[in-house]
Amino acid sequence: MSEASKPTSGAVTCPHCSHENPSFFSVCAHCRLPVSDGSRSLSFARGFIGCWTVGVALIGGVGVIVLIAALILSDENRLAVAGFLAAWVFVAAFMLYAGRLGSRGLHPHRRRGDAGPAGDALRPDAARDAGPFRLSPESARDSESRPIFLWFIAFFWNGLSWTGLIAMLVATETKWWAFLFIAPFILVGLGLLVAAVRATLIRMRFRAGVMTVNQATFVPGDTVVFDYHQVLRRSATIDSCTVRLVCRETVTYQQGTTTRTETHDEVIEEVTLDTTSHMPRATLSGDGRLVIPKSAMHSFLAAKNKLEYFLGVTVAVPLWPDYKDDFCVVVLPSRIESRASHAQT
Amino acid sequence: MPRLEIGAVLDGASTAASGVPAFRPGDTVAGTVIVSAMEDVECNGLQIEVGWRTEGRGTRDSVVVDQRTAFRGKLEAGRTLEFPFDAKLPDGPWSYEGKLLRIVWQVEVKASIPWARDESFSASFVVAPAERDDVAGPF
Repeated sequence: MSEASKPTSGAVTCPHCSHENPSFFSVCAHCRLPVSDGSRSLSFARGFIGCWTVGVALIGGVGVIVLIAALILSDENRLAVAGFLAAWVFVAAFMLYAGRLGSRGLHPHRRRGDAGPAGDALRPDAARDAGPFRLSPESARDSESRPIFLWFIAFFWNGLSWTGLIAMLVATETKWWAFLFIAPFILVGLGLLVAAVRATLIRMRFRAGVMTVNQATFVPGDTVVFDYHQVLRRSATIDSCTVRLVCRETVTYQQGTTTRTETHDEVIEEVTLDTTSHMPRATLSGDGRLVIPKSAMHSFLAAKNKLEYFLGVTVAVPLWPDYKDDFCVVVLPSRIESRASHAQT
Repeated sequence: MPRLEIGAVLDGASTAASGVPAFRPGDTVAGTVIVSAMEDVECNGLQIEVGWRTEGRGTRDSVVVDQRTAFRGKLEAGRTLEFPFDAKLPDGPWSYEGKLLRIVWQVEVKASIPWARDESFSASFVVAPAERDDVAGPF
């Protein structure tokens, strides 16, 4: 269970993004990949190359099957093959789409044109002079693709489960327990449809928000001065827009063959931004200040245990799902301050 | 019955709110490991490690920041040996006690004994700046 490492000292440079992390961060504060080796980013890239390959292979396979079907099958069988091919093309299109996303970079902290947290992470004083700094939203990895992904999963799941249900209804001697067996699958399918509709509705109304802060990294006692902008795709009456400074504990553990993750949030402070009605393509914007308490714990990123600070944004629109997103803020140990105060005591 | 009795004394530490020895980030942890042998024991290595580990619901993460072999050889029955040690602490992580996660600093002593169960001892301490003498909670 234990993941002990060798004695360490000083800074650790991330092999994926060359970001300097404190020695006790085993996960990079910038790209969130393990700082110990580069194998994960390699497998990450390989995964998407795999998506491309499978997608192209499936499309090619469709052509071969169509050719065979046209030559040797009867009309009824051709219909069945056509249905099968439609599903095949659907999966192939999704694989190609996933491959395209992968080539763009899915990770929120690895998007092109995004500066990411400062390379001077270990020098809080230097980072303070960094000026306005754009944070990457935690949802960036799926903000645009999430609805499509959910619709794909929902169609796939419902296609299978409803086919089973209809087959049971058509059959004359279906036992009652068979319906009991398929009921959870139908419920999960409906849940997926609701999630897909919800994600689509959110994306229909909002573009991803842009959060800028005054420093790249912070130390306990600092004030986070933020500026938030978000473009609306449609007109909306904003009920409220709140920004919370949240400290989140995240732990991962193994339970049997399942990897479970639990989180616990502590809200430190909350600011409500001034909001009004907005026209399409208008920008919802606001700024504020949130103070990291002087006695706050610093960010901690180990492989299975994390303590992170987030600026959590919630935009509430009447009769519409809330837009929620988190922006990670790195809080480093106040090394200089603590040493000075210790010298005084 | 254990073959060795192992203990450790940390020098010059203040005491945290929890009552355990406390150090500031960047300080040097110094102390003495005391080992008494109940019987003649051949020791393959007496290791002194300073490091941190996580506790709580998550799978354990741990890091050793300083590791040394203090002794290797025969420990005679009735004899008490003292091994001074020191280790410079890094800037973090600070000790922490949250709802799902705890970060615990410790000095761990491990005696490797051939053909027998290894003996070990650990003493925890707090690493925190003056502002966080109470390590409970994120702020």
